[in-house]
Amino acid sequence: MILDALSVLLLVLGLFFFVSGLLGLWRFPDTFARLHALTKADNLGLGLVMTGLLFQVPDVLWAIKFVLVWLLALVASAVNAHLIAVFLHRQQEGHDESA
Amino acid sequence: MNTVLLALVVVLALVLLISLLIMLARTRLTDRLLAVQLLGTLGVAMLLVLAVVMQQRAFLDTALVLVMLAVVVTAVFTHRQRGGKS
Repeated sequence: MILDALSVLLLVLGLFFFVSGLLGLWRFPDTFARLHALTKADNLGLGLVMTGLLFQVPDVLWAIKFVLVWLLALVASAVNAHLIAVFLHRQQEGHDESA
Repeated sequence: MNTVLLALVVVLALVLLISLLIMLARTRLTDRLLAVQLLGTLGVAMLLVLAVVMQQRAFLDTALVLVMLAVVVTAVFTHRQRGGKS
């Protein structure tokens, strides 16, 4: 019962971060600001939802896989943000040294 | 508990729909890629919740694949846009 309540609390918190990431994507004026808002809110939302679900899993293997998904999401989102930021930076400076 | 989880899936699907509309409304490539990133994470979250609701382990594998493919999209698009060879 207490575990269920804790689970619901974490899930709602995660949902809040997802919605705030969406608001950032929608309302922020330039792409760097959107990048900043989205990358953080996104990971935190997924992490909280994952932690909330950890109290409901049937066995340990599921829990390990959940954590693995979240860690992969962290790495993927870091790489994603870096690629987009570098691309945008080069585009704005108007030169490309790799060409 | 399952009812709560299903309600969460519905709300996540609504957020996903709105971010899909945002992606379609943007014109620049980077903004669209950002929206795609949000789409990927929301999809993963929905799959995780559905895996617990339906007690299906296959959803977890799908979530893993989705996470890994999300970054490939950005890598390919930024690379090609810069004129790199594929």
